[in-house]
Amino acid sequence: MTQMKKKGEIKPVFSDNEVYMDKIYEPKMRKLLRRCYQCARCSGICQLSKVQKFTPSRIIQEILEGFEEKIITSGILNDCLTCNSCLQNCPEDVNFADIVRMARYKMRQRDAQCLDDSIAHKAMYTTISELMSYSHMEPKRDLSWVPKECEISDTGEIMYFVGCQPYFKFEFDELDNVPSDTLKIISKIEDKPIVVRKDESCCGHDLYWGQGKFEAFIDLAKKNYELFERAGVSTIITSCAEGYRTLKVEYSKLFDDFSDKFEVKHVLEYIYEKWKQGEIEFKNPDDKLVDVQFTYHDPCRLNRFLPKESTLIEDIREMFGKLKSLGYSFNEMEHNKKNALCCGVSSWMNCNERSKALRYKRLLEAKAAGTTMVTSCPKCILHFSCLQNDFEDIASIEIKDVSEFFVNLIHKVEKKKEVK
Amino acid sequence: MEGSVLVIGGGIAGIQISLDLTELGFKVYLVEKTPSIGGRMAQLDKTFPTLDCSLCILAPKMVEVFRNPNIELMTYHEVLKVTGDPGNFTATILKKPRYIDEEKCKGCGECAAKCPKIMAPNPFEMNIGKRKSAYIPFPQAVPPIYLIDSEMCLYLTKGVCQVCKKACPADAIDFEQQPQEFDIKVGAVVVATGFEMPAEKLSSRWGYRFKNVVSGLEYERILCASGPFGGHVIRLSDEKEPEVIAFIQCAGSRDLHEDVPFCSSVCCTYTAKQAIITQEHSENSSCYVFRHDIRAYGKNFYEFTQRAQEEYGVIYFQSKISTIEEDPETNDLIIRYEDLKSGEFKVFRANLVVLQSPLVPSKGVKELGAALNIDLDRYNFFQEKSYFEKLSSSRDGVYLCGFCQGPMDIPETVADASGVAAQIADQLSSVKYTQVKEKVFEIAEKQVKLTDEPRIGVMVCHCGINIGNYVDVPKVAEYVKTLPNVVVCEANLYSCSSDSQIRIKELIAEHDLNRFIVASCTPRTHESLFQETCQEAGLNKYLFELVNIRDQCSWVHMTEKEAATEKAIDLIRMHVSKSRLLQPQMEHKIDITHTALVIGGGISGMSAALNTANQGFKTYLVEKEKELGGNLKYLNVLYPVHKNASELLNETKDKVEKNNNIQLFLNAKIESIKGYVGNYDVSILDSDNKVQELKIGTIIVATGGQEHKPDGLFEYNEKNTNVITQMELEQRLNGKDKSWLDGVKRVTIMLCVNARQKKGITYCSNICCATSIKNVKILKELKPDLEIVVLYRDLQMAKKEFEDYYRERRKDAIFLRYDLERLPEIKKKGNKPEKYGIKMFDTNLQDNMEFETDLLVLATPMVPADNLKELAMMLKVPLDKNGFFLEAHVKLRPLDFATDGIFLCGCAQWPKNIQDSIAQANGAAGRASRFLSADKITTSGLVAAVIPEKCIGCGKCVDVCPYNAISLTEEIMEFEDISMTIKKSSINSALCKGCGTCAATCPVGAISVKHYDFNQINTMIDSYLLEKIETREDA
Repeated sequence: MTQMKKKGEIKPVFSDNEVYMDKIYEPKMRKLLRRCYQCARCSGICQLSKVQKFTPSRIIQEILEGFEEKIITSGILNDCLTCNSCLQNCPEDVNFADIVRMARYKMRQRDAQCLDDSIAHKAMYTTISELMSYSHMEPKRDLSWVPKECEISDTGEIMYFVGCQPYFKFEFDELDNVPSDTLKIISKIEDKPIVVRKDESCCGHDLYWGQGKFEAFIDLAKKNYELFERAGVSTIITSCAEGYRTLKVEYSKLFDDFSDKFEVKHVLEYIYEKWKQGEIEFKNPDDKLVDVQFTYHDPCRLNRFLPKESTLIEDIREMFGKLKSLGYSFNEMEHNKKNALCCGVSSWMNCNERSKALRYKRLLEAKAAGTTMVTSCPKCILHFSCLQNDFEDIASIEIKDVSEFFVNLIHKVEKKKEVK
Repeated sequence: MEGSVLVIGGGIAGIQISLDLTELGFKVYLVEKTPSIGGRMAQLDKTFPTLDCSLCILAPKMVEVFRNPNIELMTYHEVLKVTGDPGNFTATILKKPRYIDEEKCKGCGECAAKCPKIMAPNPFEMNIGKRKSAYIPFPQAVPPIYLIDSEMCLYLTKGVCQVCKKACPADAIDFEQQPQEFDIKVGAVVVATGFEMPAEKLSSRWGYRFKNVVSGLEYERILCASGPFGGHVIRLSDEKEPEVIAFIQCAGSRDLHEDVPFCSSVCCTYTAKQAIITQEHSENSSCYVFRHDIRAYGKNFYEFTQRAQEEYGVIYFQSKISTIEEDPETNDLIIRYEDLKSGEFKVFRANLVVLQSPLVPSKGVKELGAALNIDLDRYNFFQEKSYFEKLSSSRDGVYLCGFCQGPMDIPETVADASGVAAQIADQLSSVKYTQVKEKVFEIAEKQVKLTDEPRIGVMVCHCGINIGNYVDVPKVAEYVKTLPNVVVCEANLYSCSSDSQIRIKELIAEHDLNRFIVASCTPRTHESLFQETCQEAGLNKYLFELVNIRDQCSWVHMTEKEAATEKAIDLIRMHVSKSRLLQPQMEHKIDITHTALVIGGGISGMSAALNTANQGFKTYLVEKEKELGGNLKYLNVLYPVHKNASELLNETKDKVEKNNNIQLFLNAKIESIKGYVGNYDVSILDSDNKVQELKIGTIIVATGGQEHKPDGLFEYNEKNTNVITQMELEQRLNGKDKSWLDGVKRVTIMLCVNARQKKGITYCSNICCATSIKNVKILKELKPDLEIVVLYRDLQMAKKEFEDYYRERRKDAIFLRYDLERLPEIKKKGNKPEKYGIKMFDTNLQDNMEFETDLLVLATPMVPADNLKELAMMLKVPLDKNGFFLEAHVKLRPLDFATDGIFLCGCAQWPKNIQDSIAQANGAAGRASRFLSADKITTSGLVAAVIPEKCIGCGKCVDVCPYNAISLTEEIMEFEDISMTIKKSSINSALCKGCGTCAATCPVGAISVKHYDFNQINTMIDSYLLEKIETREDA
């Protein structure tokens, strides 16, 4: 099933796909890289460079000097984590990760096998995504995970975009609670039923960043866009950092009116806003004081991939700080916020010793910071949990999704009845 | 129209403009928002490249501002609004409360001494040091008065304390002060608000959050002898001397992420300065610099960065660092970087890191821009009127100067300041001298003859506690009364107060005094005040003598009161002895010719001539070629605005030719120059080979530069038509025929050809990089499928808009970097069509490259114009080691020669672009017209004089005089049986500055300096050595 389509075989589902391609793909890579003035700051920043030879600035210079073909065919760009650490520190805002994304599309047009060999889990999950992109494929999701107390609907204002997490349960059980806990949180706060759809498609994040399947990505995006319109929603909440980024940023690139029509929020952002607005408060179940030292792993999509003006990474820390009164003490890891280390794998690309070394380093940092590590990206959870099977010294760390962490702490503030 | 000007900002820019403006005949209101003038320059330790103490060269100018009767100094004031039109503006000024009455405060410091221990962070020390809430920003602050920090003061915040009120001997504390608004009327406004250097933004990406990471300006204070650590280089975490200091250039600048898309222009050079000073300060320290491009923009600055490496052993790494982390145990910093010369990734441990953080426009520019209704550019610098008029803002009558317009160093700021003054003099030329006051003394000067018995009056000052606490002033006064010829001696609290001036005049009249002495502080700040008081009482000002018993006595002997008292007694006794021998000196007025001569008709010369002519002075413009324009004639398009060079040339030429005050001499040659400031006789050989004799008041040198021809290098020779210099490319691009581009597929532009080397031309000529970046665009527009390769070492893209200019061009060319150690090899490969093979090591790629090119453009440095030595001899001015003219002082007098009356601008001084040339030309014209604006030149009474009988005509004095004030005159001497020509030294008092070098050099003692003659000096020494014993024996 890993045998992918070769160049020329990809048939667009929609006839206007070229218009959409222009919005997410620039074939002239030099045009994107030309701002680079070869300070080489990125090459020492690069997280990958700490475990293998990988020199973004030199790769850029080679492309600028006309050796693009050599770079594309060498397969070196398969290795990039697309963690955006380089962009974060680049004085010229050269978006290397985005270049890698486009280069992977080019690679696919030349030699798909080279790219496909790097996909983890035998490309099972990316294949599921791709299947969903076909026009004749209508996903019929199993909604048995929906907790009984939560009322859901096909249409409404607020949608919970569940994403891939229910598909992962065939292989992993670490994420089983994420969708249900997220839905519990939203339902607790909102009065009306929450939209959860059987026919929700994959957001396409991994095809877009990892596998260079832009046509399939565009098709998925269109399906979801139409779905959101059918459901009549105005707010879309995700519990996944990748889904959040894809909907909020990439879909807005594709569809000019997307951000006007739909407001996309990560559940963490949603919780923060409700807390700031005074609609919720944090309490321990039974008001029992606990004693937990916890830390937070900033996933790259909810960190370096946020727009420059976003204050989210500071906001959530404000919220974490307030949990002190419940007995949850928040500690930073050595590398945090914009300097946070990557979980080591992105878009199902490249699971190997080198990426394990990155994960191991991260978990050692987490261990030094507390007993619990909270994060907001299901993939990060999977990658870290997996490594815990390999190393005993980090096995004790409790890795939790934010929804799991918050679900029992959130209490709706009852509005006082106004005295007339 | 108003003959006055509002200057906003009291840094070096505002100071220089104010001083120049008063000399051009305008009254100045100088508004500064902080309590003292001095600006950033006052915070610097030393200045590059001369390593002068910054404050030492600035303070005299600050004092000059303070003493200038035509500058109204408004420190701790802000400008709220400016309305009206050019010539008639009304400015609304806010006076912020100091809570100390500036009329009464004498700066004694008693308030700060008694202020209870509230230590506020001291912004002057970049918050490293602390100060009290009653304070003076720094000891040399001007005005030298205190103020109270309303946010820290216990009384103003909590309503308790008032200790200072009780302590102040001058009763100057006034807690009732309120902010005041008032209006002033001015003809023009200058904005000179400078820059700031915030580093807080660099916390996350550049490690500023770590204890031992400081910003460049913080390090400047750490280095400074008067700084928070007394000049000992220590780090903040453990106050230990760091052994390894890393300087990180471009930290946050040239960085879109930090919203600083430009290069700050000065960091490369001041890093070298800081590293050099650090090496000088402590033997154990070694300095390492992380740099990307070296952009030492200015005269000899590149060589200065090389000196740091070669002479002082500073190590440079070519790298923009990747990460900086702290070792939690030692607080050392771990820097991870790639060495771009070798391509290796390395880890570096430093004890202290200095971040050369970006220099950005000062806080509040947006508000000020709105208040003045002037535009800001995309970087928040003030927008110039047009690219080539950088001294004017978007609003007529409002001018810009210094860093608020764009990144620049001190010399450029000073040159621009003079340029602004000149443009205002042009705009307001009809109202010159309408609002300035000249002192008129009512009492006629009393005749004092040598034979008159000296009658000396002495005033001994307590200076609040400054002297009074450490010197027994009453005892001193009693002693002084006993000295021969001292008629009267009084002690007082503040000799500088206005009632003391009245008292001095009373004493002179009452006791018919013919000498007066004040024993107090420094002549630097106060001599002129007392001299003027004496003049008001009819006493020649040279009959006054100031004894410094504070700076050099009470302040240095604070712990030894008796010794201090004894020293004060000695000092005063010495000056009494000298005073007996003082003579009245005359200040002569010399007539001047109100004409200017400009040598060189390029863009600089034409701009200078236009300015002096527009101010109403007859100006002669001499050009050696048949046409005006100089290098501008050969240029195609001007960067970065892409205006046609011919357009600017024709506009300017047209103005020059139509100006009635300008007389042109084309195809002309200067034959001889005789005379001195205000009175030159110049002979010019005109185009008809006729000699024209001109009477000239002042001379501006604008002889320009020329492109170096790299004969024999990189296949540049007569046979190869496709190896050309940048100037030759300009000419080809300028021509209509573009057939030379036919068949050319790849153009290679090689930068730094024969420049920035260890031998030969060692300097960076500053302008070639931008020129080639421009030509990349022009070539690409002409032939879009052309492939352009740029071979570079560093890209010199200082100045605010150039980084963007370069950023835009990067898409049009391939940039390959080479090393001086591994120069590219270029060989001819084919003749028809011409082809050249290039072999090089590409350091960006860390790999060897080999490719062919059809056209090779060599960017060579600019060198001085031909035959400058001859002209320099005629003008009696020096050339520097590279053959450019050498200015009086590279930092603060970039447009002057040491010889009064001669000025320079443009590429005659150093390679520079058109914008800077025009600004400098205006500056030189401004400096020159200070002389022309005055009716006469007043000579000082303090000059050297020759005793002709003693002079043997050896000429040694001529050689040593830095001002060219001395010449040898010849006369025939008749003896009984022989007559011969003998030489005598002759000193021109109009040029003499009274420095005394000649007097010290003269082998026969034929020269003495008036007011400091040998008898006067000797008697002081005698008085100290001989009379001291007598007084002790008496006691």
